[in-house]
Amino acid sequence: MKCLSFMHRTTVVLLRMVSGVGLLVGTWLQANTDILVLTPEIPHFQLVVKGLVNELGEDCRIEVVSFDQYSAIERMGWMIEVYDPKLIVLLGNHTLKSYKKLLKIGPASMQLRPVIGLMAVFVDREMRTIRHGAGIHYEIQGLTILTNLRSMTQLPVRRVGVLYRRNLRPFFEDQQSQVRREKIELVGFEIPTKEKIAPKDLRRGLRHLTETEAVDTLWVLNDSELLTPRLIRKAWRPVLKRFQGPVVVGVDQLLRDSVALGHFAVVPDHLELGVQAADLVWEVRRQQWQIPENRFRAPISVEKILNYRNVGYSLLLRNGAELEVDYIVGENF
Amino acid sequence: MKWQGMKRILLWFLLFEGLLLPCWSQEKPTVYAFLPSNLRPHALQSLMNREAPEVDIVFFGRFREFEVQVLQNKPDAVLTYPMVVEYLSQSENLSYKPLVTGIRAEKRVEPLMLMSVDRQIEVTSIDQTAIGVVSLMGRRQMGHFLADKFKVGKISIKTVTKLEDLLSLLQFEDVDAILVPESRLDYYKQRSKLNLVITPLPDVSYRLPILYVGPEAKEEDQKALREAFGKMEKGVINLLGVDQWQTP
Repeated sequence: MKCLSFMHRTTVVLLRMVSGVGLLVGTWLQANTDILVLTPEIPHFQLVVKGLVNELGEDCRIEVVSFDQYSAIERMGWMIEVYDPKLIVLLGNHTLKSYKKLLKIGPASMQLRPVIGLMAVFVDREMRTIRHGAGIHYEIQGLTILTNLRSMTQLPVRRVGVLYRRNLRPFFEDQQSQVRREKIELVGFEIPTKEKIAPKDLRRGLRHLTETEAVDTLWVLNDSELLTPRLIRKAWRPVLKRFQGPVVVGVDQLLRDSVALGHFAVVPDHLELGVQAADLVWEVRRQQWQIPENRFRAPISVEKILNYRNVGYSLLLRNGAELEVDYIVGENF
Repeated sequence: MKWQGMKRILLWFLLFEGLLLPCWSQEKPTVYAFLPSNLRPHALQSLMNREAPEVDIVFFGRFREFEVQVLQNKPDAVLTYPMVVEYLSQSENLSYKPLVTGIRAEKRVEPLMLMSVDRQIEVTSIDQTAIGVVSLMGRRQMGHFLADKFKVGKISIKTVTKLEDLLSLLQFEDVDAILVPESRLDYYKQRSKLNLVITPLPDVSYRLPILYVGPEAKEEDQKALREAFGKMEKGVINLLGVDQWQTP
């Protein structure tokens, strides 16, 4: 009996100590967290977080918490409550969607906290309803892609053909006005939005761009609806076989020998995306944790990948251009 | 017969120990290089290691990686800008001394200039100007370094790692101007069709790269390094932003 009562007392004391320490830790975290980062544990996302933390770690107190499609919204709410950060960084579309749901059920004061969104498709559209939100687009802009291509090849990059679905028209028009500054003209062909895109519609569009419009370059947008294996086989490849200009893509998979759709890919540099996000955080911090006017930024840094093995003609690379490339497909240099 | 055989083994052993083993175990001096450029670090590294096979050169593209590796591995030599070594010496108590100095147009320093779109920058209001720079140290250190150069209390900078990213900052109007060395002006003019305007900065320059050796560098390593850098081809040296290497 005596022993039991002693154990009981010890347990109670221990529990009190633990809860006391918990309270203290909670208070300490609350008082010390500047930035809470919520991210899925996926390699590309972790690279972005690494870039952010490396750049800000000395000056800000950062907490990185895993949050993915299996995480409950309540967990997100609890994390925000515990850490009470001055700014939240959300990575990925799912994390952003969860945060928006949380805003609907949470207290109105939550709306005031600045939020930065990264690694989300069309981050500006996704964050439209977040009043104090800013972000960096995940889509590499045509201006960056085409300036990089032009610096690599001696072939002309003046009239660039782009095939897009109707729902991407605003994106295309944005890109069109951006590249005009660099004296590049984007020539578009709109594919009607249907449930299933027929190869003949795509072939007609590609022929229009390459033959009627006689563009010198093709830029393939990252639109999974236009890049199904069937469409690649039945539309892209047959038309591109006869096209004699550079084809630039936004994902390295399209350069692989098995797909062989493009010659040059420009993809995000994830570590540098984190560094750029750090710049944005820095700006918000400098303005007393207020979101700047220019809320959504273009990604600045890219990786360049080249595959000229599949090209049946010379890409006429400029002298030393290979030294500026991050990877050459099929080669490890 | 047995004795003869033993003698032969002993002879081979002595030959191996005395002559071959030292040759095999002799390590090449290691150089860690941090010189941001338009060329990728892995490409520069393989080029330089072909050019100077008697030294082992490792290129880093980011300051943080360079800093961590230098502190962890203490290479025999580092090749970078004096401001980087000065910062590391102050913050980490490292003592590297110059072995070979980079020269360009017979000078050890190069002027820096501001490049902007359509209009020149008012240098008198530089503290109100957002400037894009290649990060040679951490963000805070770069800020202090440039505030000091421009003789202002505070300066608004955006840092990037690669040279080409400076142009993107201008293209997307993320900054008002970018800070570039005089020798790189053509690089940007060739890449872009924007109306790029130069603002000269008469009092702002930076010192060209130097090859530094650590306090424990052996004399034979220093000799190997001097020779390797001395016989580099001009085309390769130019890729490092200098015309020639000079012994101080």
